[in-house]
Amino acid sequence: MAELTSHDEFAPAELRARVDAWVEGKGRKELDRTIRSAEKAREAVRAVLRVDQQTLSNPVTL
Amino acid sequence: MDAFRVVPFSPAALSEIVTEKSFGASPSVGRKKNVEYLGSYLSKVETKTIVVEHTYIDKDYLEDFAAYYVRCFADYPKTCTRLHFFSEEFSESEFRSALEHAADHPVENANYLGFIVLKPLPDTVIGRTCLRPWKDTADRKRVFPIVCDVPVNLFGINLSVRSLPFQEQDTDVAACATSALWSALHGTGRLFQHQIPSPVEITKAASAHSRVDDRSFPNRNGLNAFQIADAIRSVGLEPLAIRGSDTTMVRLAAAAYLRAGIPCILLSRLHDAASNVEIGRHAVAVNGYSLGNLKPKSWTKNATVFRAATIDRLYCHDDQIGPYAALEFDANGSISAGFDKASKVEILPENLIVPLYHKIRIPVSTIIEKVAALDDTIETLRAARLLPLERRLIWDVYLNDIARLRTRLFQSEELPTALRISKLEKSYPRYVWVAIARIGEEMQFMLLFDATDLLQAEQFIDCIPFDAGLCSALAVVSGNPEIRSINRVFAWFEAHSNELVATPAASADGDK
Repeated sequence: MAELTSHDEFAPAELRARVDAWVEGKGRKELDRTIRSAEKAREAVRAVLRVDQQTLSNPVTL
Repeated sequence: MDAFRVVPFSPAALSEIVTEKSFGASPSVGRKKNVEYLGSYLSKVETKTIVVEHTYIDKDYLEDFAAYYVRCFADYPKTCTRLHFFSEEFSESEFRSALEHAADHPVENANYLGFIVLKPLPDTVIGRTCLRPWKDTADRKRVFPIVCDVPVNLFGINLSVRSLPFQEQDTDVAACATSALWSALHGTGRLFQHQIPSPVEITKAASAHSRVDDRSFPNRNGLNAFQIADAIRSVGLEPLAIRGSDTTMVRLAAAAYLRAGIPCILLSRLHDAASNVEIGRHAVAVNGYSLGNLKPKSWTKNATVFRAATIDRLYCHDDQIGPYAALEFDANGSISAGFDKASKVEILPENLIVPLYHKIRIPVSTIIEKVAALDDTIETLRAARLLPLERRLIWDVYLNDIARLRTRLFQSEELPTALRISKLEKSYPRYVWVAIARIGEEMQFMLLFDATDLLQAEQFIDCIPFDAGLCSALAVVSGNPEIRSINRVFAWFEAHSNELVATPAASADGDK
């Protein structure tokens, strides 16, 4: 289990400052891209799990 | 004739008994592939002795007999034979002494492996078969969440076997899909408390709305997915169909429902492995799985990594082979089946049909979509070094009833006591979807989704943090309003930041 220390780059205050700076900088674009790609990920899952209606009427005979 | 006979087990002995008990005693019956498989299976589970119960009245056969066989001109008997299998060697006199209340006898549950009912028919003789599933070995852990105790009374001796019933298809009153449905409905019948129909009742329900080009009996045309759905609805359950062409998703979906004790019916095209000629379409009842040595990989390029991709075998009741037959997945996701090289076939799944209790409204696809979207954002934060993650998360998604989940949390040694008790005391819906984020085998956090919720709702209801480091960082990152607004899970982490960030070391280790 990872432990957090004040010298850790993931120490709360340091991390929060880095997050805010990232969002104000190149992070905003990244987040916008993430939102779009999350929607694409959803669509991809939907497409791969959506039943092919034609196969439903295939009789299973063996 | 005595009511029983005790025979040392061998595949040849089994084959002889099967031939002897078939109608007309045709030797070809004892040489059938499924009898060969049963002989091989019983050898591998170390069977030593068979007790032949000559006269046994089997409810399922009797239903089919009353509905169909009795009206044939041929005089098919109404009683069956039942074969009991033991992992201990004993003689007929030792079995007799057990019946005479001998103090020490080997006819006990610890040695009992299960039974096969033999139907007095000319060819399809393997009736209700309840055998113990494969045991774990040093290199293979197997999971059979569907099996449960089947009580057996052998001349007054109470035995039981943990099993899911199997039977061979009868081409008159049932097709392979009927046999797969019959096995699956045994699993759901015990879970959701519905009546368990016999094969003839399943075929009738399935073909109630069929058109004139299909005869219900004798059933040589098989069933399609719509008819399978009709049979599932006839017992009060709701059928869910999932596309089967992606073999990672098939494993994920099958294991996700199996873990809640719900068997699935897999409909596939079969190709002869040697000639690559299509053989036809087949249905099996999926009832177990095994996590092998396959490496977890994303289901498509740069996508979410699901633990289900490491499943290298799905076990199923396959009436062409036998109970607990393995569908084997290779590293590319290709599937093969068959218990020897000569009978190997390639499996191309088309659809997975899941019989569901009506309150399980949220399908697995909805949860996979949510997990994929969340994982995508976490990956972005990881790439920006805002999360203490060296590798991509591996996701384990499954359905659970709340009692099973509470038992798991109750037994958990990974959670701090106070957190564990607070989650045990919380009110949750009867069915929940669980999504566990892992690094390797280490659980990082567990998301809970209400499986009974409306489709239009959010479904996410709670999170159980396991790894203090990651969960604390997620809480801090979620403090940023733009990140928090992306996903409800980030909002949850932000709302619980006091517990997660304030004293991470104490909450992780301090009060176990």
